[in-house]
Amino acid sequence: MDPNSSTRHLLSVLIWFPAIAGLLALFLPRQAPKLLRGYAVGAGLFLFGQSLQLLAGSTDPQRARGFRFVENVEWIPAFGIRYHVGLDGLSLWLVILTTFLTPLTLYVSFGAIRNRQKEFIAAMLFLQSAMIGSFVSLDMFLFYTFWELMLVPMFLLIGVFGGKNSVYAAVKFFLYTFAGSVFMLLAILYMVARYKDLTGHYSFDYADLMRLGFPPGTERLLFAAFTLAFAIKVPMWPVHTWLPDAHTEAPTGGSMILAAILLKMGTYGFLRFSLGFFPLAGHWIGPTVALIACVGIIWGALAAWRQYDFKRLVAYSSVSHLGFVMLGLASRSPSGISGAILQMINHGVSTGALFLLVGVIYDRRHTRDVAEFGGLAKVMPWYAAIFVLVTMSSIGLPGTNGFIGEFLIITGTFGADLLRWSYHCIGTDCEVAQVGPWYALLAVFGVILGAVYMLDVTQKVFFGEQTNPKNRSLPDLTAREWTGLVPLVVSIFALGLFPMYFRDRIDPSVRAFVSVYNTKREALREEGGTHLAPWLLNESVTALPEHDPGNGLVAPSEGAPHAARDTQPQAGALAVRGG
Amino acid sequence: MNIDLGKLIAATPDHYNVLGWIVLLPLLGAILNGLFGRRFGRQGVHIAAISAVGASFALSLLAFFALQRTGAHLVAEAAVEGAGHHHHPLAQISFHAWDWFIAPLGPTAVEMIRVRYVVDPLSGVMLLVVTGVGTLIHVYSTAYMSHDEGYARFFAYLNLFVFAMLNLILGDSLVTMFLGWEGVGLASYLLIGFWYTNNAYASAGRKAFIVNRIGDAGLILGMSILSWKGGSYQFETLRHHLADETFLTALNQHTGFGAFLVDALPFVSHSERLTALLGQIDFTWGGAACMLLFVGACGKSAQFPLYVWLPDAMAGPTPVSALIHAATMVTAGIYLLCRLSFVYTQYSTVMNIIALVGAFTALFAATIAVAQVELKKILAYSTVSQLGFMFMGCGVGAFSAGFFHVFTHAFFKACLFLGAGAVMHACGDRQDIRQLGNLRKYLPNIGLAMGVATLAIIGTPFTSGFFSKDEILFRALSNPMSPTVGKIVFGMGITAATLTSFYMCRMLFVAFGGEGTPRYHDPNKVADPHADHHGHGDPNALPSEHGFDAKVMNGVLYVLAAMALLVGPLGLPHAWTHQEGVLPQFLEPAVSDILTGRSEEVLAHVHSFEWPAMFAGFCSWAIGTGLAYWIYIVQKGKPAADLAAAFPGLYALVVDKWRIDELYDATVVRFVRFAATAAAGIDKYLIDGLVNLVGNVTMGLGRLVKPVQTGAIQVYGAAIGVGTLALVLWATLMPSVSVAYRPGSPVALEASGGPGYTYRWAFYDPDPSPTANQIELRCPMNRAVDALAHAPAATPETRRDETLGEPRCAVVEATNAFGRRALGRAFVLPQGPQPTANQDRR
Repeated sequence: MDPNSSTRHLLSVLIWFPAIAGLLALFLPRQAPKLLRGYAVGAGLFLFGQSLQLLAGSTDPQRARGFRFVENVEWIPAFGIRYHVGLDGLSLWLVILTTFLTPLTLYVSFGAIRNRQKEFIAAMLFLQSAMIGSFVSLDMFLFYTFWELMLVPMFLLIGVFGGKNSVYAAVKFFLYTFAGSVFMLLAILYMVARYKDLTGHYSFDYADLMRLGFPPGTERLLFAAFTLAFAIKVPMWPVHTWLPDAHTEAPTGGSMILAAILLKMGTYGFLRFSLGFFPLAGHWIGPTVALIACVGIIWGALAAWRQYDFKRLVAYSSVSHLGFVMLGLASRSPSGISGAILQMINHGVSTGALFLLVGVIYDRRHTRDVAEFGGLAKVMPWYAAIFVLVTMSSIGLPGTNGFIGEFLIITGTFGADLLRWSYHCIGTDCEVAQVGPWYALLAVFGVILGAVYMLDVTQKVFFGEQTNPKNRSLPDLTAREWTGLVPLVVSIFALGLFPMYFRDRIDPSVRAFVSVYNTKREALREEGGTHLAPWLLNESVTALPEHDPGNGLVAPSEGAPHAARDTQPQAGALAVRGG
Repeated sequence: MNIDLGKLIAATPDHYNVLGWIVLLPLLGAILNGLFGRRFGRQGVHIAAISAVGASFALSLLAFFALQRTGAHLVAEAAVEGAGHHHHPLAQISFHAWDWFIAPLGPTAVEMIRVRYVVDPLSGVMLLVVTGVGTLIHVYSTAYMSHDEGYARFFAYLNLFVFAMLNLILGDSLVTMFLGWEGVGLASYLLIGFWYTNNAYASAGRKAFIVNRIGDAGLILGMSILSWKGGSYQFETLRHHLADETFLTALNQHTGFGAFLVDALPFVSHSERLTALLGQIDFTWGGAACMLLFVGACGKSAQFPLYVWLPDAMAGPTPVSALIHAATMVTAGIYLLCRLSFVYTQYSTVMNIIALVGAFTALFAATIAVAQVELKKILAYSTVSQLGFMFMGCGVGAFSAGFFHVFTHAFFKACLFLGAGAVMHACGDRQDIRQLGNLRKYLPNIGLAMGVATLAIIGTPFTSGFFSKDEILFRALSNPMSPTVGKIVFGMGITAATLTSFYMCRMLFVAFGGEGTPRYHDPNKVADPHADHHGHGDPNALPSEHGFDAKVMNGVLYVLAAMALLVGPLGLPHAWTHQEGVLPQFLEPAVSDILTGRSEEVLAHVHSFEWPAMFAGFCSWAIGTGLAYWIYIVQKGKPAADLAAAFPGLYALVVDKWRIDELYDATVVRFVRFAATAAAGIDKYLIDGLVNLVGNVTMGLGRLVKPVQTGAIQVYGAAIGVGTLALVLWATLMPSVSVAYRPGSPVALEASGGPGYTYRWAFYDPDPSPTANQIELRCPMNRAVDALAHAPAATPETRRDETLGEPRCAVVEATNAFGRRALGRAFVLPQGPQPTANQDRR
């Protein structure tokens, strides 16, 4: 499909190269740590360079809507399992974020991880393979395989390289997330079985399974099974309690990857699979999911405020921020979803940076207790400056990345016409209220509380008199730490000031997704019983009708008086009025 | 030489690059000083900082002239066309930097938010104030901060502030403005906590940021509504939309909030009183938007109940208090209201609320100021009070009067703060007026400047404050929109004005009046040359104005005092000249006024209040000043002390600022803290308790089945062997086949099977109207058998290609080596054209 033969197997390269590199790393001599480190970072950087090729043609209005770099070959034909991978705007930046952060994390981690570097490298590279694999899989079997494979290296990263209580945290992480995904596996198998019933053959293919329609009850159960797995991974309130433990015990590098990328698997999966497969159930429960997301935003922020362990605090801030992401997704408005995808990237960058920064003082003091610090701005002025900057990005100051995501999610939620509560029902005849504004109201409480806990911890750590003599002579940022932080800081501003570069590559797919979502939902409302949806009979899943109903990202229909996106600058028309 | 800059500029008013530089230069200054300031040395730092802001000011002047030029052109054009001779066209010059991002306008439409800067009359005046006063304060700071080790950091923050403030002023949309709005909040946070080693100062900074965030939350929600119902984030587009029936109807739609509550909440319908009460709650979307935006304005401009951060903000260095917390940033709320005045004038209820909140804040803060003893605290509450006056003006529909007060206030309040700073600088950081005294002898220049500024703030006739305050009070008294509210507001305003005269004169008389040496000075103490207090020398030293620092400061003070004295005539009252003042006229195209378009009779009625209001204002000035003179000069403060002794409880309450901070601590802060503790606790004990319980139960169950694991490898091996054998046998004897097809055109079908199989393929038409969508019914077995009967025996080849035009059924029969047969069927859907073909088609 891609004419350029050099990038035909690009996704396979991205998936398998790290795994092979990780395997080879195990055969490198332990006695040559410099070689090992250089090898690992070099492999990561090479892959990052490769992944930038994904940007080619990513704004082409037609191609960008569907999957690109598709590879689709048989794997286990008897069960309709294929090696089917592809990339669209929903996954593009997540893949690049993965390839961007992995070498950076590896490089930074070598400051603190001195033992078993070989194993650390291998685990990180395997993890990268599994993560990229999950983001680009278009076959549910393949997806599930990668999804579970991710657990293993992360389990090792926490358990082997973690802190005192690391085994408890690792087991908790593994079982918590595994418990959820078992139900997802059941749901996948059920769908495949129904597909076989309908067509006589098996298929795990995303596009094939997308054609399935289920009776409402079944659809809701399947939705629940998928969503439970994703909600735990996100993690959404109230199944979030594995996260603080996992983060606290994980090494800095593990925390960075966990927060920046692994959690996004949950939000990505919720969008792609939960909402994609089951739009009717999504429509039914969406407002509730959004409400839970709002609870998570506030809950996470409140709990973060009361944490005394620096890493737990950042972990809870993740709960709050990912609440925003889930709110954006559950609003099912194009802007909300776009904002949510952007916020996934933003959170990856900002929280990655925060964990890196926490790691900086942990390496120096071997404690994460906030009360141990105070007045650090005096001895580590650059560190303090960068920390305040990242704090501002985390609490969404305009100009930094955090603002764009939060703003789009809040305004997208505010006007979301799919966020409705029905009440006073007589039969199916209900009063319907738009609840978007209320959710937005709840979400802005999160914006306020975000400032409360982040500024509180900033003050406790950096301001005031130096009371603890152990902090008197801490060195400021090292060259290694600078090297890790500068790309993140640059990303913070790049995303904050030029978000359209990113969104131009996200929005076409979001448009397509929302359009399919709405079409499928309308069609399912008509049909009953398990069936192959006829509405997609002649369409490939991503090729869409020209007009997108209920979709805010295209030029509005002639009835709407609003201004659409200006492609030509109209400055001249607007600047001189009355002339 | 006569370079016609205006002509040059008027040719491209929409690509006026100068605006970009005006904004960018302070940012460059901030970056330079922030990154390399410590290597520059003091000289380098302030040269970089001052030249950045100074150049920005110079370019602002240029832009202002360009604006006037454009305006003149427009007027001339309008005159030629003969249209709108009563209506001044709105002149604008703008610079579009880049497209920022696409934001939603409600559920369906979107708009590109641009980083685009616009100078119109309103932002033009504000631009000059910010860069002008900003430059002066930068100059002043070189002296005031000369001994501080954070010199570079200070100027970096100050430049950052100017950059953010310029974004706030010049941004062409609510979102771009919000960029500056939160940016100034950041600068304010950094500067209040500038001396961060003092934990109380750091707390003050945090408090300012968080209280402002509460306001900002309102701002975000208000923006959401306004953009949804009003159809744009851009001020200009909004202004045009507001003239459009469609959008006005959308904005005036009722939210139906009360009815929704009554309907949706189950317990309400049981209570008639609740139903009646909640049912009354009703407001329009537009009203809600205005109210929420006003919450934002309250946060930034320190209005009740969100004013509490501003007095604490005095922890910052004094130049910061002057620039950010008096002259510029805190007026952003009024600026926002003026920007959106065309929306606000539609909602009289909101206007009344604004007027009342403003009047209440003006009065309330004035009462607190009366009992304060620190220079900066008095000035801080005075600022809150004056901001209240400005809101009062906006609330009674006189937006340009409110803004005129912003303009005059910038000069006299900056002068007062900088004067206070100069006093502190000279008196060893003392600012308690009870410790000072007779400063007029030791600091005559500062005394003169502060005296002039005080005359202005208390509204002494013919000074700037007189004109601006008078205009607000007169418009309150004559409010044609809601006369009752107007009169209440006027009453509160006059009282607040009286108190203003009183407390400002009290401050001046106590600190600068009296005889002998300042009260802190102990004449018996020997000077200690080694003592060092913030680098200001001997704490017991007598204040003096010697040295280069003092000269720099005095110079700045004189400039500001002169402005405070002289800018008044820009807004001469209608009663004197029978026309609007220069500034209101200039602002008219950009700022709405409720008087616009009213009939002659109404206008005549309104203007009939002008002399009475002015008289009342004069009386309040005379009473306040006279009282202060009598108490603090004639009676040497005795009546005040007597009064305090007579009502000790009340006095303590006022000194404690009515204990509003304590009230907030006991209610809001405490509640949030409790909720946070509860959330953390529930996570730790309840949720995790449940999780661990599940884990433990599972482990317990695990122990139950433990005996199965004997550990004998032979047994395991045997079990595995038997199982495998059974599977192999079954698979060999029982053939199984299924059909898979690969999407694409032509469709590739594939039968899976095992070794030694033979196949037969057939295709047949599906049942055209199956009773259900199952393959059993769609591709019935009997038809499959029929189709296979005619099919030739095929080689073990497993692939078939078939071009399908419509859905068909495929069947494959596999026969294994033992002669056992199995059938596999598939309902094969024709595939759509592939995306590449797709692309060609489109």
